[in-house]
Amino acid sequence: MLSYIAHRIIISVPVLAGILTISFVLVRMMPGDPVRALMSPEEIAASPEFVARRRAELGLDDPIPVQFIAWVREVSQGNLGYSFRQRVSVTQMIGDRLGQSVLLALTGLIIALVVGIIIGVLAALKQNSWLDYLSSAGSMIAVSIPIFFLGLIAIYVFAIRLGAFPTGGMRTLTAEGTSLADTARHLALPAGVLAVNLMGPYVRYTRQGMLEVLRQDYLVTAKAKGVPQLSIAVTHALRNALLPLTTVIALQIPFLLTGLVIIEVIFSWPGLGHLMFTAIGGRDYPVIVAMVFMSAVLVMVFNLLADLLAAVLDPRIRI
Amino acid sequence: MNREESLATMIGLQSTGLPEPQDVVQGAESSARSHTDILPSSPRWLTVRRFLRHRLAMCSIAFIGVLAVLAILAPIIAPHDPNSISTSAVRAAPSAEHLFGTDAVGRDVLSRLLFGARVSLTVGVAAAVSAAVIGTSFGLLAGLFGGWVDAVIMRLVDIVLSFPSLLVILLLVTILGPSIVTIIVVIALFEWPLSCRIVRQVSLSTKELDFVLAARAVGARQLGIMYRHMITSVLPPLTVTITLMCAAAILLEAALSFLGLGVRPPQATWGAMLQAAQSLTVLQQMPWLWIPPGLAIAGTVLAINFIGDGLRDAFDPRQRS
Repeated sequence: MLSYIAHRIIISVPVLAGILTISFVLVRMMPGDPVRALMSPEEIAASPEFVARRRAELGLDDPIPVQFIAWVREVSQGNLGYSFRQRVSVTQMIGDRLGQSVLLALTGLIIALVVGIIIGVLAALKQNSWLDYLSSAGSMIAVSIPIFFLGLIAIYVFAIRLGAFPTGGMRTLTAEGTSLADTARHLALPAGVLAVNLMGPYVRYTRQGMLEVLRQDYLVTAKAKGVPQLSIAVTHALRNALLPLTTVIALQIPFLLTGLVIIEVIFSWPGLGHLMFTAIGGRDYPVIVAMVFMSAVLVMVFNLLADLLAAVLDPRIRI
Repeated sequence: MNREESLATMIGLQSTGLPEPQDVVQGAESSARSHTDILPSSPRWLTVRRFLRHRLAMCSIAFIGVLAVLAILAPIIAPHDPNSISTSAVRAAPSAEHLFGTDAVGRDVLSRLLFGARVSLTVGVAAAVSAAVIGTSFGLLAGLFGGWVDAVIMRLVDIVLSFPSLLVILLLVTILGPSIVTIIVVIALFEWPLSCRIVRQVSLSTKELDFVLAARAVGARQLGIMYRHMITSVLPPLTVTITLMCAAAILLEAALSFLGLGVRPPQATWGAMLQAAQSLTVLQQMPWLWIPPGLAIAGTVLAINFIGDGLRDAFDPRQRS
C-alpha cells in the first residue's frame, strides 16, 4: 500500500514539472511587456530609462532558465502575477471569485452524481426495459448537446417562457443583502445545466458497474437466502459498483472546468469562468495563463487523489 | 480500476476483449447472433434493441453523408450569398425568400447554416485524424519499446491531459489569432493523448499474442511487425476513438466560435450563429436565429457518437451488455 502511494506520488512529480514548463512557455508566449502594460503611454514615453531599470529589476532580461526558476519560486508562494487591466494581483482576483465557482461546480456535481447514480441503478435493475433504453439514449443525447445550446434552451424555457427562474446573475439586484433562497433560485438553472452536461458518464458507469456486480456469486447467494431486492441493490451491489466512479469523477474534472467557463458566461455567474472570459476579451494575459495553470494543477491533484482513493477502497489495485 | 483502464472503458474497449479479425469482418451479423446466445431476455426486446441500435448507426451515417454533400455543394445550392448584407431584411422571420429567416445584418440563415457545416466537418475530421496520427505514433512507440520510452510518453500524456482543452485552446487562439488551421492544430495537439493511450494498451496486449511471438521467432523485423500485425489489431479501437475525438473537436470548435474566438468573421460557423442568442431579445423573439444552428451541432455530434457506438458493437460483440 505504502509503496503504491509512493509510486503514484513520484510519477506525479514529472507531470507537475511538465505543467510548470508548459505554463511558463505560455507565459513567455504572451504578447506585451508586463512593465509597459502597467504604465500609461505617456509614462512610458517620458521615462524609457525607468522602463529599462524596471525590466532589469524584475529579471525580464535574465536568461530564460533563471526566469523559469524565479517564476516557479513566485508561483509556489502563491504569486500568480499581476493583471494587465486591473493592476491587482491575479491571486487576489481569483480569491474574490473562487467561492462562487466552487458553489456552482459542487452543486452541479452533486446533482449530477445523485441523479446519475439513481438512473444508472434503475437502468441496471430493469435491464433491457424501456427505462434502460431511455436512459442510455438520454445519456448519449446529454453528452452530444453543446452545453451552451443546453443553457440557452434552459433560459428560454424556464426563465423566459415559464418565468420560474432568473435569466442570469447571482442575486436579485433590487433585493437588499443576500438571502439563501434568492441565491438558490439563481443557482438552479446553471447548476442544473452543468449537471445534465456531466451526468451521461455517471449513468453509464453506474449501470455497467451494477450489471457486472449483479452477476457475481455473492449476489446470487444473497438472493437465494432471501435478502430483499432493495437491500441487495443498495447495500450489496451499489457499494461495489460505485468504485469505478471515483476515477470517472476525476477524469471528468476537465469537462467540469470547461463547462463552468461556458455556463458562467451564459448565466453571467460571477465566478472564475466569467473572469477568464472577461480577461480574454481584454487580452489580460496574466489572468488567462494563471487560470490555465491553476486548472491543470487542479486536474493533476484530483487524478492523484482519485487514484489514491481507489487504492484505499479497492485492495485489488494495490497488488 | 486504474486511469488507463477506465479511459479505455470510457470509450468501451477493454484490453482483455480484443476483437478477433473475424468479428470485424462479420460485423453486425455475428454480434447479433452472439448477443442472442448470451442474454436470456425477451426476444422481442432484443429484436427492437438490435434493430434500433444498428438502425441508429445506419441513419447516422446517412445523416452525416447528406450533411457532407450539402457542405461540399454549399456554394452551388445555397439560396443566397452567406455573407451578403441586406438592410431591407434585418432579423426577418422565415419566409419563402429566406426559409430560415435572416440575422441581425440581414444575412440568410439557411445559407449560413450550409456554409457552417463546412467549418464544423472540416475541423472535426481534420483535428481527429491529426490527433489520431500523433496518438498512434506515440502509442505504438510506447507499446512496442516499453521501458523508458513508454515512461516518457505516458508522462507526456498525463501532462497534456491535465490541461482542460478548451481553456488552453482559448488562450492559444487569443495569442496566435483565430484561423481554421490554428484551431485544427491546437485541438489536435491537446486531443491526441486519448488515442495514444488506447493504441498503447492494444499494442501492449497484442505484443504477447502468439502470432506476434511467432512472427518475431521467424525473424520478422520490428518495423514489419508494427506494420503488419499491430496496425490490424489497433485499427478497430482506433476508429472508435477517432469518432469520439471528431465529436469532441466539433464541440470544441463550436464552443470557441460561441465565445467569439472561432474562425474569423464574417465566415459562417454554427457556434458563431448561436452567439447571437446571448442577447435576450434574440433568444426570446427570434428562435430561427439560434435553434437551427444549435440543432445542427447537437445532431451532428449525436450522429457521430451513434456511429462510434455502432462501430464498437460491431467490432466487439462481447462488450455489449
